[in-house]
Amino acid sequence: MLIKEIAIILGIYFLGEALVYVLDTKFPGSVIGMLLLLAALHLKWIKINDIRLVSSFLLSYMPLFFIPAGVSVMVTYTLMEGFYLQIVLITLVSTILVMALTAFVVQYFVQREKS
Amino acid sequence: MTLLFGLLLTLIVGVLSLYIKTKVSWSLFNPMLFSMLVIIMILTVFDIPYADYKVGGDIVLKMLGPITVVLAVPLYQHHDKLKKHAFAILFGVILGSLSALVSVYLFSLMVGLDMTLLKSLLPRSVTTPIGIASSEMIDGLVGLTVLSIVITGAFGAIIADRVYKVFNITEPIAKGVALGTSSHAIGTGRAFEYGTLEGAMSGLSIAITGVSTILWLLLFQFLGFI
Repeated sequence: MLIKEIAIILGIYFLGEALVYVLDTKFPGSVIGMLLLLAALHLKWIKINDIRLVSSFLLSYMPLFFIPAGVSVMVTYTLMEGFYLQIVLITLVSTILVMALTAFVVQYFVQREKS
Repeated sequence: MTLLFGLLLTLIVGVLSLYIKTKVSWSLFNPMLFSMLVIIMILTVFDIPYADYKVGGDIVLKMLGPITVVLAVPLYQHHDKLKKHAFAILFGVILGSLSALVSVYLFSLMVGLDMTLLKSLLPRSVTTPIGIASSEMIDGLVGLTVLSIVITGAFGAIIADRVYKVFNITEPIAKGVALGTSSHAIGTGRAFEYGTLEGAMSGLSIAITGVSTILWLLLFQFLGFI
């Protein structure tokens, strides 16, 4: 049932936010919620079927929900003035570095575990 | 009225761009980026203040919480693939996400970016909903974070072939994990073109990268770096 699915997901999200409040940490409550849901799925307290409709809806329309965050650059772009090229360059170089390092480390250990 | 305006504009443009995505063959067409540009254009042309759009836009953004929660679903579905090489994968992701932060941090200081821009760029290799939450956590500019996340994903997907050739990466698990760690969902799309193992590994790495990045950021904060 749709309402039940929404209630489960919002309930877990609420638990995550409540934990953040109680522990007085800056860790995002939504990410705690993700970890709680992962634990609940592992422990079989919640089955994928219990949240299938709402989770696949949210995941398939995900990009739509970021749009307003992107639009906010129209009021903050002035802070980037003079730094556009640097920002893009940092992003590109760092991406190559992260990809190469991660691939290298994982390949090294996977091959060692295999042999 | 104002509330409905931002809400409807976002939904209409968003759904339209998701539709275009299914029609164009260009795999790098990014619905989020496209929608964002269209909305900024509409607001500019009709001289509508951003604040008026924001009222409804914020309602849409509220969904990021539940979206982040259900990211556990793909992670759970692929978790059996994690078991065999858990150490290699986790170690790679944890080190990879640290290298993203350290490199952005050092490069930003080198070219003289101020602290706000630096902080906005830090979560650039994580999946967008967690990236937005991370950016808010460290007081970055969420808009810049989202943009750098999109650039990162698109560039990672383009450059992967070359990077793997130059660094002699042949192991499918390594290719997948590296794409997910460096370029989140867009990289995962590319990883699935290599194969299902690469795709699953990449998808698995996305959520782990998110959690790992937040933990590193909290350490950065604790140490007074940001």
